[in-house]
Amino acid sequence: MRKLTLLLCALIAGISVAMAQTSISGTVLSAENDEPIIGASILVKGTNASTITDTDGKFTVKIPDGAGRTLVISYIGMERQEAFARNGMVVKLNSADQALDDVVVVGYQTIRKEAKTGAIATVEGDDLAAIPETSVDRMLSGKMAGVSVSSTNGQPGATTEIRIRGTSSIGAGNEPLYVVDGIPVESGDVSALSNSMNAIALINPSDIASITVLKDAAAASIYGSRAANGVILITTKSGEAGKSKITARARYGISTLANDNNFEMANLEEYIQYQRDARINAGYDVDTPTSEYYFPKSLAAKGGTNWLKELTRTGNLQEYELIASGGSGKTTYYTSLSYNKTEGIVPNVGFEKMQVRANLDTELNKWLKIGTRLQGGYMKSSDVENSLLGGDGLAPSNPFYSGMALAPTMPAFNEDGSYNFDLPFVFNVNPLAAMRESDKYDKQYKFNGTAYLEWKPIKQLVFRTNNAIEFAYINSRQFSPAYVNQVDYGASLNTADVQYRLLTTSNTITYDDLFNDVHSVNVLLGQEANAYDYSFNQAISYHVNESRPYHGAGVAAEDQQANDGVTQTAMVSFFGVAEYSYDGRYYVKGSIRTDGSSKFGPDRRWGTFWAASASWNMHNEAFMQDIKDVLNVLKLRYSYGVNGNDNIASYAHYGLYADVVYNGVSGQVPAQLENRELTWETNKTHNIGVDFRLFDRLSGSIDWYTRRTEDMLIAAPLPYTTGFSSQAQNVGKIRNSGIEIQLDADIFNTNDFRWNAGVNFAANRSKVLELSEGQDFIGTSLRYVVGDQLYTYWLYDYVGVNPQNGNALWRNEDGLLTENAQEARRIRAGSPEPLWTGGFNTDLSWKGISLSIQLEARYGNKVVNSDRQLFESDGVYGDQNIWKGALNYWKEPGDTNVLPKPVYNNSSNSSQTSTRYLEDGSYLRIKDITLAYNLPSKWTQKALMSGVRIYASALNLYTFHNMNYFDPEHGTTGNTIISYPMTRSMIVGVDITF
Amino acid sequence: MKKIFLSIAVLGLALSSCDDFLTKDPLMNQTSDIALSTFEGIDDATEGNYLSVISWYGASFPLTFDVMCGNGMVGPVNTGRMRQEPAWNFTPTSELGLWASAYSAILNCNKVLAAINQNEFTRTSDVTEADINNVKAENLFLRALAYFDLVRVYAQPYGYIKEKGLTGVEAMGVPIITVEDITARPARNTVAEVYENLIIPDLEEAERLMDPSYERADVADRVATISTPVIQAMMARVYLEHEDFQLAADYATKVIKNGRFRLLSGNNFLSMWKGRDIAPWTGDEFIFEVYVAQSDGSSTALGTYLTAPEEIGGAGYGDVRMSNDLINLFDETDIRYTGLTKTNPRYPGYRWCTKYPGKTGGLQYNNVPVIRISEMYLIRSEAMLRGNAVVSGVSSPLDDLNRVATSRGASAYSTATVSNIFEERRKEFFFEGYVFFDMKRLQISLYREDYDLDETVRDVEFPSYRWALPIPENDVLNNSNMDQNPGYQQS
Repeated sequence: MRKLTLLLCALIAGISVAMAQTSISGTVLSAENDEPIIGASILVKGTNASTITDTDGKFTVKIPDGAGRTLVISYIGMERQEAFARNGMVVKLNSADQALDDVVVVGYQTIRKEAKTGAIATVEGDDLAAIPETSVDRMLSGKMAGVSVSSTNGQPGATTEIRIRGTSSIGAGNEPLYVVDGIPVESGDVSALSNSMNAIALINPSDIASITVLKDAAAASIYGSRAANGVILITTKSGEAGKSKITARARYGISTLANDNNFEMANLEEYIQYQRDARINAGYDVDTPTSEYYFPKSLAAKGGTNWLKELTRTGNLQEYELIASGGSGKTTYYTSLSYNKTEGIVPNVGFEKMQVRANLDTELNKWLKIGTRLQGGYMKSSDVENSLLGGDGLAPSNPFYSGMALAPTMPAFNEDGSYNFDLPFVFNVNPLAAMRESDKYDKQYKFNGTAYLEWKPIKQLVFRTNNAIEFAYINSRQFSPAYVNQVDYGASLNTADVQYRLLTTSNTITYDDLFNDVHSVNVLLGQEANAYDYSFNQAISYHVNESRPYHGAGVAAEDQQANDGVTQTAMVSFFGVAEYSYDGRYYVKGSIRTDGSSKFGPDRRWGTFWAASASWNMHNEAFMQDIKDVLNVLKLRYSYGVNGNDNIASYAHYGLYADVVYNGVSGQVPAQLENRELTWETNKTHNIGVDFRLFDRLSGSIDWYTRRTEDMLIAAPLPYTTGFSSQAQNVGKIRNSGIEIQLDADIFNTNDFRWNAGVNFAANRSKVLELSEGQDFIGTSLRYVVGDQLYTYWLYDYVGVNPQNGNALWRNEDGLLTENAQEARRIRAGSPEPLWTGGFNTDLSWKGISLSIQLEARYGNKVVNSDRQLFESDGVYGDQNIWKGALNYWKEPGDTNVLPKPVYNNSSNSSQTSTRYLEDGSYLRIKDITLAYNLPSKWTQKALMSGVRIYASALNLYTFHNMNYFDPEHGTTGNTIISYPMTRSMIVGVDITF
Repeated sequence: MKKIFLSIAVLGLALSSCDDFLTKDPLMNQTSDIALSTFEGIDDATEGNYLSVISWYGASFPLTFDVMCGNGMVGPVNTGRMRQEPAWNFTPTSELGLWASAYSAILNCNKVLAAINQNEFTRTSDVTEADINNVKAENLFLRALAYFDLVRVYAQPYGYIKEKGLTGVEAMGVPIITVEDITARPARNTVAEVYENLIIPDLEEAERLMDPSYERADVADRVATISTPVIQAMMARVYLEHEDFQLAADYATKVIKNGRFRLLSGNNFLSMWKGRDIAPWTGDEFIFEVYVAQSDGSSTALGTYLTAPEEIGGAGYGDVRMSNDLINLFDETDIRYTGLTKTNPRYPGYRWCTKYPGKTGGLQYNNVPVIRISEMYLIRSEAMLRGNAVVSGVSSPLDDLNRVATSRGASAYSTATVSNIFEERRKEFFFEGYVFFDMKRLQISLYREDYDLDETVRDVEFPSYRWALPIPENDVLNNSNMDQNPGYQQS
């Protein structure tokens, strides 16, 4: 309180000093070109005293006694500006077009950046559309401080893992909420049979006006229960009246496996040598033809197969778009049509989408505005039978597994050109045949429609109702020829239909007013409800006719299976926000939201969440005006808030019995433990931030936050003696705190040459504060340990190789060396969490030529390289191929710095998950380089075009890393194995505007 | 203004109906409170409890233990499975999985037994006290079976502990849990307690409660249901393990005299293994089996692991072949050798077991025998030999031993010794999951000739810590009262 009093005194003192002067002179210039603005109006705030600028842009205004010293400067087509009055002041007005950049969508509302109190990051749609990725989430990679986008695989159409300010939850979801045009939408993986189908991939990046990420509790709290992991607000474009515009875009590119560290498998000769040594080490005779383990060097003479080469190809991508926007009178429109097709680096793996959007807005009269946001589309994800993530990564028909694992001595084809099916190592599934002949896809048909109505009975009051329907139908098919199936199913057919529907209504009343020109009040009250309904049905048939692969009627019941499922959830919310600001300098804001979720039991279903925040625009203070040319903006922010997380399975609080069939009779078994007390996981966040702009060149934000997750929704482990392995519980606490820095600089800004650069940096530190009562940690190799950071690896302590005999050496509990793998101790061996992440982007343009570069980096994360483990396993997998690095094994007594000796069908556990496979996952990725040329308008106008842009891009051009694998990214917890690797793409394109 | 009123009205309506709107009951499952509230539900849950045992009789018992004890070895073609097991490579983190499955089955039985004992369920008028008792007996039997299998796997054998007078962790069995309590963190009971306070009383009560004419209704395979002779046969097995030799012999005799089961020979014996879907109710060797069928949606790994593909792309993984040590035990005339094993033209020099040839739907569907009549004869023989049990009408242990041997076309033994009985059991029950427990009970060390994995475990002497498998790390970590078996990483 004392501080507040002091502050007030200082303010009053400042004002009384100002009273001494009464006449102020200054100049008004255009911010764009520093030309004087003639006829701009100057008003002393809170009075009638005013003047206009002369032909040199100069003015003199008298300030009446007792008035404040704020001037309001305005000019038609320019953004109104308030400035502190002082002699010789220079005011630069921005054009109204640019003013659009200064507002930010924050959830149910749009605010001026000046007014923000929470931690918010924004990226403009145009900055995104330039990146030739197919989905929005991938484009965010490296763009914003504290927004980490991790890929687990590079398959076209695959989802990513987005973590905003670290991982906040152990058991509940960690993905942010996606809100498109004010309506929360489905996100994540919506595949049925294919590996991956990213729900938000349908959003056409060119249609995005802006993406705002709400990071702290104050910013996100208006989404209360669902905002614990942050909110990604996507706003799509609207048309502008009077400016009809048609844009056509086309791009084409090729993609190849990204393998910047030259991760390679052993070749034929190396493989034979390894296998001979492994067999000899196992005590087998490799040189006698009658020996079961006969493996002569002469095998090499027959020639070999480079399986990975056989199974991969150069992929390609193409994309076409037509966009029309404009409007006349009170109606504006924006419409787009696009088609995108990506063919993967493996035959039959691909992703295709087409979508159409129509955004319409019309002002019916002075008080009523209505509009719609409609999008319909189709996505198809094609896949190879049984491949990759989600399923068994080590399936023989996974082209990357087979491509690396299959012995190079095995021919892919017989001499007559037919497929070689004599491949016992992969159950005689020839991966080439499996890849080419199988048929597997998800086709998703999707519609998102939103209609709103805005009623403005008086200037200060707006009623808005926003109602949306989202539905999707996914049709999936998986046909496997008989030779793909490992057991005698014959040819099999699996079809699935999935449908979901999400209905949302969102209704708000906003009151916005300004009193005495200095007191600004904004109050919003709202209600929202949604209902989600999901169902699937699936049919599987075996022994189908290969030439007519459909589910036939009358097939024996044993040969057909049917499954179905239904899930429903609902949520109801009521919320309010109140904001007060004084004179563009002091802002306070409070919000409260109460949510009811069907995921919790009747007594525990409602959760109330709130936030409070304040900010101080110091640059608008009197005492800052003298240095305003240097320090253009200085804003301090603080916020605290509580958010919730209900991101768990739909019926987690129920004790459940599931139906089973045994011995031809139906029965039931316990399937889930009841927990009536199950309720919201909460997140409590403090955020302190500062925004600044220096010399009109360098702007930035620095934020410090600490976020505490309490009552975590965890599948808390139980001893098996309880009959269950876990129960959904609210236990434990974790904390994430960190710092984020975002800097943007306009280094040069002349008419011909522009150069700007931005850098972002985030460091997050997590800590597990508490788990279930009496529990010190959860997990085995990857653990949550109380008192330690969130994820820690606890691995068997591998020391090296005994130079005498080539056996692996371990350290046991007593710290002594042992050759017995079962005695090895586990030690804390690092964490998959990065110490920091960052991004860098720069744009250079000279006349019509521009070059943009984007980098992203991650530092200090460890990865247990299970891919290397698989191909460096000392003979465990018999005939399986090894990677080149595995060739450095022990050969004779005295060998040091080597790997353990290979033993055919090794059972010594030397390749158990240990510190041996721990690697540094840090990387620096050249994410995108784009070189573009805008054709001079004097040329294009002859062709009736207003602009033509041609460009070439390199996506994922190069990655600097130290991992012994194709790519360093192994997901948030570093635990992927044999997933579709990252690819590098080279793209050319053209954009034409009419 | 009208619109405001309308909005308020709508809002009010929305509020009042909120709780209905927010109640979404699971449509695909039944909630626990109503699942056991009727006799029909209790009966359904009992049927469900039968299913639990597939998780171990479907693979670890018939396969893993035989592979550990020299009956099987890694095949010349394989998928990398069953390679750690012959080398006894078990750790608290890579263990058998039986512990979790068995305790899940125990919980399921405890829930049903509690519901029966509370007697608050509704029933239709035709449900009699006898019906309730029969269902109760089934659950008691299944619970006893789960405990019996647990204590035989995770502890040293009862007879050895008794003989050596072992105490402390070396005499530890498994925790006895008879009520549902997720907060319980029980310590281990002794092996003797598990037998004497749970397995034996449960089985005795089950035998007493069950109507001798009871058969679970409407099932596909009647031999896969619990009936009085099934309980008695299990009691014979348990009494033998607990060294109540006279009781073991008496109960074996009860089953033999029951008349439903018959020792077969020649083709009658072999046709029993031909992948039939349903075992005959009478005149057969199978006393109790686990039913596995595609139509149930259940499957077992036995057939696929034990069969090598005969052609390119053929069924079978071939992970486990018969060991030469086992093959060498058989006489040339023994139909268990000539009829239940086969060679494969693609892999000359090896033999595979054909006890699980697959039935409708493929190799992964096989019923799994749990008790056969031949075991009753061999139990009786062992009880007479080791415990001087008296069986009227049977003069010596050799009678019963040779009855089994000769019915299989093998030459008769001249004497009944522990090692002869063990050898006969090994030949009779290979890949039915007996050999590990027989070795433990009879304190026989494992010596392997046909073995090419980690040399340090080629031979496993008895006694050794290895005969009691490690308790899963999960239960040691999450239960401070749980002691790990000696010899394993103590976490």
